[in-house]
Amino acid sequence: MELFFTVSLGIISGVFAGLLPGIPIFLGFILFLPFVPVDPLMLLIYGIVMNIGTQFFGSMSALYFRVPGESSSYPVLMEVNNFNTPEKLHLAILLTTLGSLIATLVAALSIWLALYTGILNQLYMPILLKMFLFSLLTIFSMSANKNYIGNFFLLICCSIFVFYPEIASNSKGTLPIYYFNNMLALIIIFAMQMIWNKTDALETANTSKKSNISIRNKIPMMLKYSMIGTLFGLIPQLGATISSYAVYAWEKFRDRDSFSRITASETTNNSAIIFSWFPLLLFGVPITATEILLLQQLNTFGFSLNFINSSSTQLQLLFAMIVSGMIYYVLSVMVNHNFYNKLGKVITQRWFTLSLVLLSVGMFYFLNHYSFGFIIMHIIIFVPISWLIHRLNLSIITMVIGLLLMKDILFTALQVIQIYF
Amino acid sequence: MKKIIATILSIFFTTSVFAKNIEILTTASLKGPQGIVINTVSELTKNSPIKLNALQTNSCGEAVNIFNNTKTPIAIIWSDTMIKHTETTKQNCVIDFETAKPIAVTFASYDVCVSKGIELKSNSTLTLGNVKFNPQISQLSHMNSNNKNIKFKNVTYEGSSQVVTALINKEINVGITSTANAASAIQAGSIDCLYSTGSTKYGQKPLSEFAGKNALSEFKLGMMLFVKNMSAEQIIALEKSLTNGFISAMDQQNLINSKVGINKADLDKFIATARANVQYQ
Repeated sequence: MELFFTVSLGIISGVFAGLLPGIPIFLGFILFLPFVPVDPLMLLIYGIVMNIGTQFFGSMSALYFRVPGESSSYPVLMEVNNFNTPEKLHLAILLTTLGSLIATLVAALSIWLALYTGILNQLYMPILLKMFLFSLLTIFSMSANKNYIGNFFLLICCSIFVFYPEIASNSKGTLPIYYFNNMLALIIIFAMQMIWNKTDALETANTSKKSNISIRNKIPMMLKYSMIGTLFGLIPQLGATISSYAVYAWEKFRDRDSFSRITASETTNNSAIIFSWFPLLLFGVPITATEILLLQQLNTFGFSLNFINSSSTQLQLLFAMIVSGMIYYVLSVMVNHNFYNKLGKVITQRWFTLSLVLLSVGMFYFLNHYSFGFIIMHIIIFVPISWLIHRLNLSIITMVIGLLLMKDILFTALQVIQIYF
Repeated sequence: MKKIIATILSIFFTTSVFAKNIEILTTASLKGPQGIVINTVSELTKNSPIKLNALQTNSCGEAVNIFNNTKTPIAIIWSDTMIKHTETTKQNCVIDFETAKPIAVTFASYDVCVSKGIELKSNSTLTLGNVKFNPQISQLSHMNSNNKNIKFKNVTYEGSSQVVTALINKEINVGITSTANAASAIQAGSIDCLYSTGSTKYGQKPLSEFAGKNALSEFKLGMMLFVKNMSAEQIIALEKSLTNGFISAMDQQNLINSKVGINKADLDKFIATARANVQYQ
């Protein structure tokens, strides 16, 4: 029952985060997070299922609305004008969704096999590699939007929030000690981003019609790019996006047609997004914002990732990944264009966004012990910060890293210094 | 109103429909012995009318702040190093004993363990993994006064389980970790624990044989479960669910001197130890 509920919630969140233009993946994750049962496996399944969905529906958004649902779907957007007939559009949808499904199956099976056979159990993450990954993650996040200085200052500001109790306690009474809740801060910041980033009008593509063009010939290519995508998945934070652009450029360089280009990019990014969970599952090291958020949630309730060693857990995880991939495929292919248009119009309405914001903050309030004043204090502080992030074109991934990972990063750096110097 | 809505929501979003879910805070990391105690207590109360769920905070000050100010039923594992932490962190890590009701207590001994293949050779320099909640400076100087003239370099970790992981990964040479957290790695043969402040279960020798006689050689971390805002019936129900199994469960987890049902003398002695621990840095 819990598994069914969690997979359903992950699918809703994945469709939402994938379809809503300009909304990063982890925003969908965090908004529905308070609804997920407090169980480590359910939290993990929710995160992975949601991530898979964003890749399926990110390209749907680009094809139907001409606005990419997530950053790795830009290659689809670049090609969308080439799908200028209903038949071509339909074929593009069939190819990208089938590619995404095959990628899901390949990546899910790879993860399951590695966990089940224990073939990599003797491997460990050396502290220097961990530090290197953390550094890459921080650099990549700061380079987002090419606003290096702004993102650097954002990181410093986040650190001040993280270490505020220590700063205040050492201020000899000049500052009051106050304990911020990082997850609540992020819920408010992310939720408000949806309001600041609101897309008013969606330009829609042609209505799709069934096409008779064969897609069978593309299957070997999908398998190849699914495997390539697993390697890209190991790149911190940007694995899906980089893989998408890299294989798109490669296919373009080889002068392949538009269908091949978008199939390659969508297959690879789906595989990458699933395989990016691998370092977390094997070594406990998060390399994407969603994983950082998930790890924070697990830590909050004292869960470790040891539960993944149980074979029944691994099977449930595999089951959830494959079933959700199939459901996403069916939803993408079977649901007609009119439905997407209606859904797109609903989820981009201001009332819908506001309702979701209130629901998320409300859920946090009701399911935790914090007082109403505590929630209001966070709203007063973090709504203006969210607006500033929007106005100054700063990266909210930097915010995630700053608020949730900064202590870990600094602690790892301290350990490296203590061991090697 | 909040309680009604929260109850309705908990019916939808938690597995246990009829139990009263109470958060149990930790003053340290859940990845150390406190985590083992909390997880065991959560397991023991799983099917009882009072179910305790772990909640990690960022610091002992935050945990105590929540515990002292919450108006609804809440629990905390408070350790006897928290008066010392109030001094070092300058945050209030001491709960209000007037309103808190002690329920159970247990103690963790600490082991000096080495990575596979590492020997404590005379006149060598070795890295020593230690937990940030342990008295680090005192412990380092105590370890450095060993009878083999080994010089230790301190490496700080968040909890005992991270020290064990670092030992398995051969990140560090030696580690001070709670016996409870080291047990599974010792049994698996991944690390060797040579000396202990209170356990001989895995062939450990007394730490005083290596580092000399000192109070730190006998150091055991005391952890007491406190609750507040609970009715007498709820407290009785909680104690009842712990009476059957708490001591044996703690024993299985290599935690010692456990007891359910704390009297005033037990509490006074515990607080006195906490006050005495202030001497360690």
